[in-house]
Amino acid sequence: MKRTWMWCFVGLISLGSAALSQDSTAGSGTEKAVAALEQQWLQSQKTNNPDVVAPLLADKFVNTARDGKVTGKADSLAAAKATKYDAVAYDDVKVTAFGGAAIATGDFKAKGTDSSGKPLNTHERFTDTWVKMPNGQWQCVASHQSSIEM
Amino acid sequence: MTTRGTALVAIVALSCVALSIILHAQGDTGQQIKELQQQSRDAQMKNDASWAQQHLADGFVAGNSWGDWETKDDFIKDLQNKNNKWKSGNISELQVATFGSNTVVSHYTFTYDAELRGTHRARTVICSDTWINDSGTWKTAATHCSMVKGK
Repeated sequence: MKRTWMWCFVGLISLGSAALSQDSTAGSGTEKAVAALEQQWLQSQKTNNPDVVAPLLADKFVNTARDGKVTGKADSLAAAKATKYDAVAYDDVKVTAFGGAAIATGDFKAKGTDSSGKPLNTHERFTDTWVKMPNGQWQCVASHQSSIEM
Repeated sequence: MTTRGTALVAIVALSCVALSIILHAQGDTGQQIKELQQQSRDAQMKNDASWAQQHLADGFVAGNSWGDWETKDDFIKDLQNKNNKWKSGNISELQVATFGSNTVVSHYTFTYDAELRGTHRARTVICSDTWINDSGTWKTAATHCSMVKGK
């Protein structure tokens, strides 16, 4: 009987740990970790290689483009694959940690050809929402861009 | 039933209870955020800075549809600015996605008519808000909107 209770206790502890694992994250280093992931995203654009950014996007990732078009992960990656950047840069990237989530904001400038084959010359601001997943990996769950009015 | 069998049954039963609690909590969270989202817009319409003071996280950032950033202080100052007047504002197509127990992202369309910082803006924007659970209180960590229609 003692063993039964021991197993139950172990089960409860395991369940509790799993439920709390998403709450007890973040702290120092989050900003650096997320800033590095933003640089990885930039690198994928610089090299026109969406495979570099694919693992950084959560399955439930939602992108809201500057024109209000909303796309999920698959469509966002397809659009990234069809876009050809000649020049791309991030500026003023800031990351703020909120426990197991982090917000990255910044300016985005790009020139090239967009996914529909039209010339691209854009200056936008972006907000990315990152979440630390149960496996410990940070993934972007939402990205939102807006054009800067001149 | 052996002792090990009994323990296994107990663990499976506990897992089911825990899963049920988590799913129920996520449902509640979604509804709670939808209500808070509406409250947030109602407060904005009334220039209610106290609501924002309570429900915007420290470190909050807003990216508005004309490309400006605003901090929590900027946002509250805007609400307190008597020259900013809201004629109308409606939220539609509100969708909520939960990530664990402490993060929610909402997506919605916001149609408004307002005089903001001396400029008349009547437009439809699409917005993404990030909500975080700060010691039991849901607070907005970020909001970002893009114009889809209007001026």
